[in-house]
Amino acid sequence: MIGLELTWGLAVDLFAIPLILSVSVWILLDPIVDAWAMFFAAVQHPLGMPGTVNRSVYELGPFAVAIPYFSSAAHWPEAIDLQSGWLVTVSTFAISLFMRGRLLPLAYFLRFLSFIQLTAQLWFTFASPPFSYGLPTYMAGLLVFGVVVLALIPFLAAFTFNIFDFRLWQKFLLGALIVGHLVVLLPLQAVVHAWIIHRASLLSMPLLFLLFGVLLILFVYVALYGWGMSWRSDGPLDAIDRRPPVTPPRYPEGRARPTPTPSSTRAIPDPGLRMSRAFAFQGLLFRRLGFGDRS
Amino acid sequence: METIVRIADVGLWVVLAVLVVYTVRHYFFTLNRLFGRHRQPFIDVVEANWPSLVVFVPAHNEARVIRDSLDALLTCDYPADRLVIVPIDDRSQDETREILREYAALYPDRIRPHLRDGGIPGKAAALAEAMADHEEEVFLVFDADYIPGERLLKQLVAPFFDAEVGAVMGRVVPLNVGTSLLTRLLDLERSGGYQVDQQARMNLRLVPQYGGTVGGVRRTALEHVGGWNIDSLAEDTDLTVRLVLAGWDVVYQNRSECYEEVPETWESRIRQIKRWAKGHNQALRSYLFSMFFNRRRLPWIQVLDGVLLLGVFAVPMVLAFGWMCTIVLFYAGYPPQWSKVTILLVSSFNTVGNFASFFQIAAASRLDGTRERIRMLPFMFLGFLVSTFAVGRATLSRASWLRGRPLDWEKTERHREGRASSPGLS
Repeated sequence: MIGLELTWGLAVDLFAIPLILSVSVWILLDPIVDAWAMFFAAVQHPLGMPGTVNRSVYELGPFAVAIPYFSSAAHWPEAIDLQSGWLVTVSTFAISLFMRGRLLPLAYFLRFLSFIQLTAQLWFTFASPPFSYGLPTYMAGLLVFGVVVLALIPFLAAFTFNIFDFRLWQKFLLGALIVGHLVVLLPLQAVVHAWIIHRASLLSMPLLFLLFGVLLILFVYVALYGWGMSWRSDGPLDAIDRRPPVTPPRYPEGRARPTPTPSSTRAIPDPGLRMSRAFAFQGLLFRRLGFGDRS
Repeated sequence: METIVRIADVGLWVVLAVLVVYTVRHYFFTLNRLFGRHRQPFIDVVEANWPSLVVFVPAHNEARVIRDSLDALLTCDYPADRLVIVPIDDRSQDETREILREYAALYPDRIRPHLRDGGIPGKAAALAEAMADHEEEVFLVFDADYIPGERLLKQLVAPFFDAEVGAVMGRVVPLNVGTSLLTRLLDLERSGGYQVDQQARMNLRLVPQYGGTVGGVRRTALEHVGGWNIDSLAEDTDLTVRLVLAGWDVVYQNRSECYEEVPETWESRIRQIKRWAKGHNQALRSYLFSMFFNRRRLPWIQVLDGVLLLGVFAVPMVLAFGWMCTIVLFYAGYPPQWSKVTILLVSSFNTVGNFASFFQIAAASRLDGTRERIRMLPFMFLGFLVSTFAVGRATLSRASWLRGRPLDWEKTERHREGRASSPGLS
């Protein structure tokens, strides 16, 4: 059976490549968070977020990083927020009940979403302020986690992608692509979360935290990983399909099967022949000029 | 409130520990499949003194698919004078019985249908009844929608030359991959489950699972462990565990491919996975204690793998408990536990589905040479979500945990267009 061989090169792939990428992230971290802070400052007023863009220093092991965040606060949900929340939650759940067939996975996702939001609705209906988390701490927490992910994800890529028979540049490229993608995604994600929580009150925070925080990052990783794993390589696993061919789509029931006719079975001329090219060009020219039968 | 928080905190750590064990297991299997030495006993034996063989094909309302299966079996290269094909009609209400009679008339020496009109319904009961009419030592079992390759019978019989082998399992490959999103996802799941998971368990001498659909059993071994368990919804898992506990080897042959029709609709898939979950949970309830305290002193690694195999359909409930703990801790005012949530989510992605993690599926697809299908990987989340709900509902049902024969049997729907008549093989 086909497989791979253990070589010393694998040690390089598993440790050297992610180490280089991870060290690069740490070296570039200050410019990266500076860019995030500039981005936040640029979008703050267009999004209608009050306050300023503040920065707090967080220590991550031997390193310290000044994480930017919006200083604006999120308010405790008022009656109108709660009523809107109930309406959206119940509607989402009700819609999911009518989803059948191909939409069933989406229906299940909507029900799960409704369940998480239901917990938020109940909590904010019966609890009293203050909530344990504020918008600034939430946003900073998301970005601190993002920084940790940026530093560690090259190792995850190494242990799930670099173990295969890809070329060295491909292994570097996928790790760099994932890191690069997250560098852009993380501030966008934080801004969207902050804007929604600011506008829709703290009522939206549990849903965002549980379903659109880490899960989104995980999706990005799996999607890029899946794309990378579909690349060609020069190794033993880069083979043609060793599996039996997929059965062709079934012909629709109730429709008459076409019978071969002389026109449908005529030989197709070799397009490389000069004569056939000339005929093809002449046919195209005639059709362009409005001659000949298009039917 | 403090007690609830404490319980949630401890509960979450326990859940994470369970999920991490499964994730590490998947990763270890992937590495073994990629870099390890592969065990394929007697796979290339072509000439031998082949034993007399009975192939059972249990069928209940299988008129759409049974012709393809019988035709394929008739073209296998097993010596014709030592092969008997026994399709078992278990009270079909469609044309299955007429088709079997037609084939029996065409091939009287090779096809001998067993027609059931009474008795306990279900595959295990049907097999037990049909087996009583035959004396052969080795028999194979195929589902009615399975289409074996030409060499498959020899490949599945060859491991029985080793007297310690009690059961053999071949690989299942979906035939209708391109039909829908679901069939594509199931193709990826099957690929990960067989190409990597089963083969790694075979390599490591753990517990390869006899799947009951494209495999064989030695009569002596079956009788030694007490025959078919007709009370079980997953008679294959049940038999696997009993064979392992009794000291018999179970062999998986990765190159012995058989082609099946996977569910094309989510509703059909949910019914299928609920049935599997109920059967697995029954086996977990019945054999967990025996696995830990087995008299034959199985290697601890085999015991661990057996327990993890049995517990695989309990994982979604563990996962659900983990989510509940996370929600409680979040509202209780713990600092946002990003790291724990990460582990929970990554593990969620890795442990459910057909229990193949995303890297395992990707590895299997590359080994199969179907690298472009790996781009479907993010959509596995949909399959995971549906499986979790389905398994959860099945786990909470009565059939999962109570003793006795289950009251319901959900047959997997067939989608293939039925053929009018046999092509007239000679």
